[in-house]
Amino acid sequence: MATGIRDKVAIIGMGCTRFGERWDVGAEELMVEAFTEAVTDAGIDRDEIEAAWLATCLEEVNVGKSALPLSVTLRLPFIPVTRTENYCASGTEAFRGAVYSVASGAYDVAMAVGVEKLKDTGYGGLPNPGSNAGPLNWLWFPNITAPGVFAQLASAYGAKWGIDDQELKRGMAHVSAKSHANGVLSPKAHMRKEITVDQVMASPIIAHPLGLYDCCGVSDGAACAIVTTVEKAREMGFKNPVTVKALQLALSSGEEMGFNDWDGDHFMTTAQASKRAYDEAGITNPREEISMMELHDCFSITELVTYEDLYISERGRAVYDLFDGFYDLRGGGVPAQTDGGLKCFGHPIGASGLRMLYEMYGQLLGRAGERQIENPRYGLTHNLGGFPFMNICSIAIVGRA
Amino acid sequence: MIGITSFGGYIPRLRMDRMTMYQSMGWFAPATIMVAQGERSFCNWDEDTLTMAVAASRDCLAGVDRSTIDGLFLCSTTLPFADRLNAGIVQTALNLAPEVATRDFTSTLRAGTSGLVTALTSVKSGDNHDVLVTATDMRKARTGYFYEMWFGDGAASVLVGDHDVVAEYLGSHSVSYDFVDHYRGADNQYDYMWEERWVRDEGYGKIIPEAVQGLLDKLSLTMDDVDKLVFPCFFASEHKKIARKLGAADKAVDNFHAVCGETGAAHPLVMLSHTLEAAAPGEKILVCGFGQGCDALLFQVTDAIDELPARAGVRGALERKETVRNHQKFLKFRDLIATEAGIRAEAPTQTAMTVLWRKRKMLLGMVGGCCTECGTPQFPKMEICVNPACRAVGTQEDYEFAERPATVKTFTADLLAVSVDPPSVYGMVQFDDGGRLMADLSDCVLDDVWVGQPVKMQLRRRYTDAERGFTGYFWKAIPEPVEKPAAPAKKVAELRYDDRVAIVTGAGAGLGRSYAIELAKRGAKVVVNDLGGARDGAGSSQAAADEVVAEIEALGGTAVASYDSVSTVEGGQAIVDRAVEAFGRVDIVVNNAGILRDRSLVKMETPDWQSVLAVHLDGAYCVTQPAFKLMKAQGYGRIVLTTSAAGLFGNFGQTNYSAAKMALVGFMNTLKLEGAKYDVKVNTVAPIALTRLTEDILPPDMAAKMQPEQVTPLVLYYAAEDCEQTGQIVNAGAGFFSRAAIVSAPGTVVGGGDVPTVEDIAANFDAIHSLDGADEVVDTMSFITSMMDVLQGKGPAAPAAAEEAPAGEITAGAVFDAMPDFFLADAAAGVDVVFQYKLSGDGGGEWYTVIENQTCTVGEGLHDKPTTTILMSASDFVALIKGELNAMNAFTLGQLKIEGDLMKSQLIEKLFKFEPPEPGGAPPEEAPPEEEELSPAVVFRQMPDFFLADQAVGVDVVFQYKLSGAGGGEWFTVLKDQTCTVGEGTHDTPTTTILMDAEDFLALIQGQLNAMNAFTTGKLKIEGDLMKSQLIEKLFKF
Repeated sequence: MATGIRDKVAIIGMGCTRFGERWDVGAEELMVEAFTEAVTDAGIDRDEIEAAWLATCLEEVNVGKSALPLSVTLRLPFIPVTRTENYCASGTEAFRGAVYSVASGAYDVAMAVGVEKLKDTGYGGLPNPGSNAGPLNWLWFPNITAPGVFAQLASAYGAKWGIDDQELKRGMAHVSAKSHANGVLSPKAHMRKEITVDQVMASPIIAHPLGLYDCCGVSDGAACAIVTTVEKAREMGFKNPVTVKALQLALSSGEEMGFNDWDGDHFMTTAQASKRAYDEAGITNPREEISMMELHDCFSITELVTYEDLYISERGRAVYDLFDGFYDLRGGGVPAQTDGGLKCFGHPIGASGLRMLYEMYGQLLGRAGERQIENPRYGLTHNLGGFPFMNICSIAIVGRA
Repeated sequence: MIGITSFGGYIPRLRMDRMTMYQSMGWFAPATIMVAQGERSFCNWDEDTLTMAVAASRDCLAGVDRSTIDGLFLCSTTLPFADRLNAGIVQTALNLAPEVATRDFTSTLRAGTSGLVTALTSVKSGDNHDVLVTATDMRKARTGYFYEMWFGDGAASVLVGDHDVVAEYLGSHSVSYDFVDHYRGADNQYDYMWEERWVRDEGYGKIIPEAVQGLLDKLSLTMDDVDKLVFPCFFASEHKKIARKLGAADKAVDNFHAVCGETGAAHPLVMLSHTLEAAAPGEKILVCGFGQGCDALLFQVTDAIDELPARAGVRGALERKETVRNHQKFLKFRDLIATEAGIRAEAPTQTAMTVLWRKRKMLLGMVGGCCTECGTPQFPKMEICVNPACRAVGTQEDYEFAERPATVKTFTADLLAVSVDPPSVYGMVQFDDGGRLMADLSDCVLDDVWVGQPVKMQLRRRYTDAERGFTGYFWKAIPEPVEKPAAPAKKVAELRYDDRVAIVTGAGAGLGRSYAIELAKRGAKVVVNDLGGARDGAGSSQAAADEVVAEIEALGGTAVASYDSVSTVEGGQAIVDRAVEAFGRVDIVVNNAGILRDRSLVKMETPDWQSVLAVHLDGAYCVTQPAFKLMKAQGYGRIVLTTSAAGLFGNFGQTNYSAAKMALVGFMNTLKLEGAKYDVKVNTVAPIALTRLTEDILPPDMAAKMQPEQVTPLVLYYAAEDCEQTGQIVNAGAGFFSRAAIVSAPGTVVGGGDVPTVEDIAANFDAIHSLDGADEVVDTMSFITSMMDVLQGKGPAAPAAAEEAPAGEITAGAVFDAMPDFFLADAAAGVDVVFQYKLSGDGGGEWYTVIENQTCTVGEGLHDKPTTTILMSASDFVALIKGELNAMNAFTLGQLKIEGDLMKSQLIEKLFKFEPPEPGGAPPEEAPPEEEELSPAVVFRQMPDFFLADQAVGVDVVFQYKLSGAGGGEWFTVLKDQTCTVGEGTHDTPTTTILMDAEDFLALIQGQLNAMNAFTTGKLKIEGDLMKSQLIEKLFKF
């Protein structure tokens, strides 16, 4: 009988680069920056790392295929290194590999590194998702873009819940304004400027109804986590380490895109993965028990509907929770994107999942400075890859042992 | 019998207005004005000859069993593949059997009729029984010449066979000559043409008659036996001349120049299909195709034509159109100009032929699967059923989606996606019978699309691999022209009062009881205050308040009773203390307690006066003051006062009550200011309700509708956290709500700086008394400010300002006043937008226009939820309205800024037809009354005044006008050496002669008739130098 991952694995060190348009560095320098911080944080010798996972998504503009870019860049001494790629959820996948490897007893200490160097494409935004989706996709699928597919959540959500366009757009604007308010307090964030709801609403349209400020930025960055078992962590002197409470992954089965009962207004995967994660962590009332979250806010509407798929907001009510300030840093509810989220950090794909964990880890250890939440108990990360109609959802919950 | 068994057509939705082409390229090719009338059809950027062929074929095959078709002939000079059977692509798209005889007919404009003759011959021989002949063409022409205007794009299909014949084939005759009127080399994109005059006289003019006569002779018939003559010829005069020559002047079918242009090899079949759509049994139709010779065919319509199922046909396609007035777009769609697509557009475009072969049914035929286990249609077809309750393996049968009805499930308009025609509109399409896919939407813009919109699928170009010369096709969703249903009424989340503490005075009965119960039902903790007095305030009892508390508790709510009098300071304090003791705070106070002692002033006794004021006015003070202290401290409060129509407007016998009720309005006006900083909102209701105060005053039928419950929702709204209003008065009752307000007129200055005399007042009483331009005044400061403005000569508010604006100047305010008059309701179907204008500088201000349900309302100030906000200076705005400033230039130069939905701003041009209002808003009656009635004689007398001499450098022309009808006559204008002289009668040597009706001439002069339209519709005829006639517009400003 499987018992889940709860309290079996501890995070003993993490690192995260400054995110942004890092014109001066490539993926190699970014990996070293995050790795150095994590090893220092863990206080271990680099040779104690027995296995590693590398998350990176777009090899076309990035480090290339395989895990060699990590092993060579960090001069890892002939240890096993694996590359994970699961669209935008790649970072959490690397973490999952490392966590399960120590939980299985195969290794004592394992490492996950996520990196993406996006600002070598020559244009803004991500490359078109269709351009490398195999020879059949090109022959029939629309020329979708990330904003274009996520924007469609809004059309369906508004129609289903009878929320008029402007009200929904204002709700979405609250998502971005709230994240920017937090980003101002995040030294490693890419965008650290406050923006108002009216500014968000007035920003130029990218994919209707998403405006520029409804979209997260594109940036370069890397993040790193070093894990071990809880017992080993205690032996190493971590008395009350941050531990993994739940780690869940759900992938679409093609139902959303091909069957008839999905309304296009939410994420079926997230609704499944979050439920399993709460069970695994022993959480029965997430709205009350989750202290803080880092969600995959690639677009404002993504975060808005995700509140409901995480069972924090009731269905059709996320807009009103936002108006109430429920997700604000000091709103008395569940603060979301305490570091500013993808909105302020940008989304170097492979790094994002680990960057989210880095914030939750820091909050749990009381290192979050001006952003510090009072006595956080559970931190949740939600890392999403793909498109609303076909995606990969990964949820992690962390807390103290 | 053999012949035509069905027919259909397809003309692309897009039409190019030829005058727009002329405006774009006329500077380069002035002579093209000769044919620059009407519209030509052109392919959307994702259409080509194959997509049009499939659309026409589907139209033709409406109700036809496709399994019996054994031949498919595709005819065109512009097929996408030189070596890949194009008919085979159409065959796959139509899901026809592999055994079908597929042939391409090409390399002559006669290909359509030659394909038709061949098909009929094949059926006649018995080799085939049902052959589909589809002709399609999309010819490119370089810009700046006649061909760009003459040509159109389109396709038509004719099904021929040996059963169910709707038009019997009587015979054909063909002649072949290597007459090269034009040619297109194998490696060239464009036609090379020889002189039109030769083509016309020696080509069309001789070869078509020869073929027609040959056919008639062969069949021993004469033109008298023929009812309709169908032949293409884009020379309009030659088309008529040939018909006359053949004795068929009234039988020739229109060549479609005005509505679509000549569709190349498809044109004879397009014209034939169009003719058959309206043909009567027995009619004989002669069809010709011209090109290196001529084919002539004769058909006779049978009775079976009436049995054919409905189809859109050529007629339907011509009606369903979108006129484009942007020549650049036309050129871009035809790949005649290069645009910068950016690095993002660089993507691998190679086609894997292996995949195309394996998935040919899916890609070209839109064939998906349907599970034999669970019956779920699905796309694409995969091995394992998509239904989570089924998951059967290998149970998918072919399932054709293309003809099935579907709706839009989700959508976007994507400006980031690479597109020839951004934004790229795409979304999830759900089929009514099951199955869905993410699909491109075409032939639409964002505003045409909504969730639930019906769509039809059409094969379109999915991508073009220019490097390798390959075009890939897939199906797109085309929105049906259906009006968007009205949006359901706005759903507002339930308003709750959980943990809010409310005091309701006079809550033992009537309105107060209703307020208390509803507040408690929605979560508030309520202090039910009632002294338990009679209607005139006499006596007291605890029963009334206790009963309401019991009622609330029975409903599961929380309430306590309070029996103190509101009219003493101690009583008021006790009521508030009761709330704090029981519930810890006060959030809401509803001052509702009241009594009546109605007497006319003569009969009123002092206690009647004092007791009414004590309860209403002192009561509001005594209860509100202690509550307001708490609210200020906690930074939150909602106070509702009760006034009455008697106070607001007067009521006989109620001086005491009216005075008290109006006093509360004054109380509110100031308290709203004192509470503003602390989120304390103060509002006033004027209930019109059947309570014990009014039950014997109101007529019984109306009284039945006046329950207190009709007022309660408004009071609760003002008590809600979401309420953002303060200082408002609303009459409420029987479902009727109206806002009342204190207004003040703009005002006037009397006495000219000195103390005015009584006589001054008398003399100016109308101006003093006028409410014209009166507006609500929000506080004393703003009243004083506007008074100062008037005294200092800055002028009062908007309406008067418009009147006083210097002559010749239009103000922004005047434009907005007149804006509903400019609104084109017809163009606004389904449009729901709010435009906010923020105009800076002199005459600036804020206005908004709300467009919904095809109406336009204009408001001053800021709208809550503008769709698009336009920021510019007032003077630029006026220039824009007057047509002196181009919107796009202004935007580019930063004079015009747009926030919000940029795309929607483009609607403004569509929805409003601006004609500059009279200068300074002067009403029409101010025009000089002596002005003589306008007649051509008057116009010509004044014409030298209209002459723009500086435009006439080097001009030397004589315009002769011949005006018929009432007021008509003959005049001429001689323009020479920058002068204009007018003469009556006829000039000896006119350069250009203009012939029209006198009435039309006056309409033209007054701008009510468009010269080009008049010319196109024949109202205006021009003889002599046509080109010179265009000078008139340039040289005269009427």
